[in-house]
Amino acid sequence: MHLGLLQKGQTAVVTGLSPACRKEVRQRLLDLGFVKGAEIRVQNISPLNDPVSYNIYNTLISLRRNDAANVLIEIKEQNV
Amino acid sequence: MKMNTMCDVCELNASAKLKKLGDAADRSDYTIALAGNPNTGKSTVFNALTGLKQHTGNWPGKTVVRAEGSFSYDGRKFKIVDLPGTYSLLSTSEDEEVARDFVLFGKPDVTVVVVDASRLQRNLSLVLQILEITPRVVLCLNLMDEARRHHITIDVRTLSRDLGIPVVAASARSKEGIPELLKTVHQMATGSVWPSKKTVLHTPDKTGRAIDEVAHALSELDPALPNTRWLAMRLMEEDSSIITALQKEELSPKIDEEKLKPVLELASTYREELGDTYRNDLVEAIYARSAQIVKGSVASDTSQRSFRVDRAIDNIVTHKIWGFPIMFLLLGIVLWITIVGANYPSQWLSGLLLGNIYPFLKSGAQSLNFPWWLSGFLIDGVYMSTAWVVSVMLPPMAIFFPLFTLLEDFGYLPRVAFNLDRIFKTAGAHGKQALTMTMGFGCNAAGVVATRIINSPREKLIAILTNNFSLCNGRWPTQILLATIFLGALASHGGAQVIPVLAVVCVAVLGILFTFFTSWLLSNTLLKGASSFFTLELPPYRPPKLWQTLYTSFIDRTLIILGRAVVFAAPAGAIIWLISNINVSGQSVALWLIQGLDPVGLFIGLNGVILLAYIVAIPANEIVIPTILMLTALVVGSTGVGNGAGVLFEASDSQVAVLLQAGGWTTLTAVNVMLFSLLHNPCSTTIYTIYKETGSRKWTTVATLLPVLYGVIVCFLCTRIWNYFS
Repeated sequence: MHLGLLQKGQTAVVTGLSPACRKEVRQRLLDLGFVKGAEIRVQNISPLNDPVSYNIYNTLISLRRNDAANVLIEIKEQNV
Repeated sequence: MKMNTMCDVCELNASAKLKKLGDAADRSDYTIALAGNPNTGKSTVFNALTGLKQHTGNWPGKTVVRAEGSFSYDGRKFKIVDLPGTYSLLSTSEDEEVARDFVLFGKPDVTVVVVDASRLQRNLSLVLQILEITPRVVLCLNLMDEARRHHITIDVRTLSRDLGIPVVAASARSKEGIPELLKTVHQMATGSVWPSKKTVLHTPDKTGRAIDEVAHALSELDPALPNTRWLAMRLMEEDSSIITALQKEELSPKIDEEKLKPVLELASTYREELGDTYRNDLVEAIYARSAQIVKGSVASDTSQRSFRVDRAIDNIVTHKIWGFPIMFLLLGIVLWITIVGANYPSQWLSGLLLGNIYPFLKSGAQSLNFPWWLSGFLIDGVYMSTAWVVSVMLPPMAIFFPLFTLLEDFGYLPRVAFNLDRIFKTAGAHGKQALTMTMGFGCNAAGVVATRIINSPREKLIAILTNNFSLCNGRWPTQILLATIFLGALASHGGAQVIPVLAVVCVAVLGILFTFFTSWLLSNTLLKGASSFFTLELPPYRPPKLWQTLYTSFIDRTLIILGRAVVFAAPAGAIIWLISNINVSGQSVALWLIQGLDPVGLFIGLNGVILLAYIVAIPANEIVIPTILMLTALVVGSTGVGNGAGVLFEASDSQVAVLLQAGGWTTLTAVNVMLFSLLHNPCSTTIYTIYKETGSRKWTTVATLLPVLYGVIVCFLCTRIWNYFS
């Protein structure tokens, strides 16, 4: 499962970065806190459906959906 | 003057010993580096210490070049260097390189790391990385007021003990904690306080062993070399500036290129063996350590509830249905206030500069027996157009920039980038271009400077090359005047108000469409390449500081741009006067030029006067219309308006209409001038700024000529289509 598939209302934990992810993208994602064990939630979705802003370590970081696919996650809980 | 209270001069108040020296940092006893994540109020701390009004932007990556300032405290002079805000020091971006190299090579006496108290865990990552380079660090726990509001309590003593460095709690906006910060910095710089121990990161087996062994190899070459672990980490990352420094014996006299070779080979063996795991392990270790520290010192009362105001605002301004209307409404309000509000100070300034000072200068020149050509050249030419530019350019900028800065400091502008990114992505551009485009509605030169926030060079260039398609303040009045005179007249009663407004909005929207189209075109031709990685932090909303915003946006943006415009306006005024007054074979140079340009102009639905006006009025779009009027009066001959050859003038709408119609204008001409006003070369201030930002003649030329090409094609097509239907 990757971050691009995370729905609003779900909480997930980052499990790592996709091996396919380019070096500079990997560096940037790590710098922004997309590290194994980080808790992540969808905060807002842009009116045009892309990008999506995520709450990670109490900060809102927005990523385009195709870039978010580089972040591997595991769903933790489902609040409906 | 500010009155000193008893507290201000009290011995016990550390601020009393503070003397702000602005940027007069020539000689100093100590050097302080200021580091921190973006949006931690780092620049506010910098301003509180130095008094230098450096602009504090509320979006990441604002301070791209490092700013310096200085202050004197307790008889010692401190130089303080504001490093770019970065999340980390591990990557290859320009910002991080500047920050990293300064902390290592600049050998600051103290490095102050500013962190956001509400986001301590995330911010500690940078602190731990800096501690690997130097132990001489003071942690400034900023934004304590926000943390308290979010019910976060931090045990400063425990935090300080765990990190082994002094920690000062502060709220730089209200100057809380600044005296303590000064005292602590002073103590560490003078050596009366020492950091207690070094935090060693516990990296997993293989990665930890790799770092240890490379560090060990360096220590063997020079046992006195400090921070070998950090150097080892950099060698593992193939950091070229560190490798070069070591090879050139800059970091240690005992290490040279020859001796470094086996160490580099060792590092590269490990690099190949570990691959991506190395970086993953390292960052995970940093975050694990941060989590451990935060656990021991931070107590928060379920932070979910505390940010609910931010969440509520975000839900509205990025709403599927309301997001866009709110955005257009806010931009519309800002432009409306600018255009309407600027009229009053503009009239006042022009009354002063042109109504009072101009006749005074003229009569002065007469009483001093200046020859007519000298007073004409200096006063009608140089003074007149400079005064004109100041009076029409200053008020809108002095209104637009502060309003824009308020939206920026509040935190709204990054949301605009968030809303619009999808469209820019389709065009192969960067979402932050939305911000530079919006800035362009105020001034294209300022918009071009703002592209610094885009860190990918390709996308930055696209943003620069397309900024001119945002209809700037200098062009709105032209649009409004022509639409009112020529299009308002077409409509029956009632429509006379609505049609011109709609027409101007259409032109502005056309500009936005050209921005997207050109971005797309460049992405697929001259600037081919995949749309790069886009990340954007949406900072927390913060109440902007009204007076500071007014002051800094005036100094930083308005005066710089106005200064550049004046430099170009003076010679243009001279040229306008000269071509109108120098006669060759019986008529003025201006008339010869107009006759020469007429065939070309008429072919694309304009005329020679308009083309010549656009050529000579290149310094500022604001003087295009006055130049057109003056040249038209010159061509038509006596019409009862105007002040003579080469003298710019203003007239009422009806006088303008009569004059332009006598000059051969039709509704089509007006429509074409409106289009050409959108699609022509940027003003010389913008061209100069583009050259400064790109450093490239080639791209400056493209930025200048591409819009002219568009303008010629669009006017030509508009004329053909118009003539076909009428």
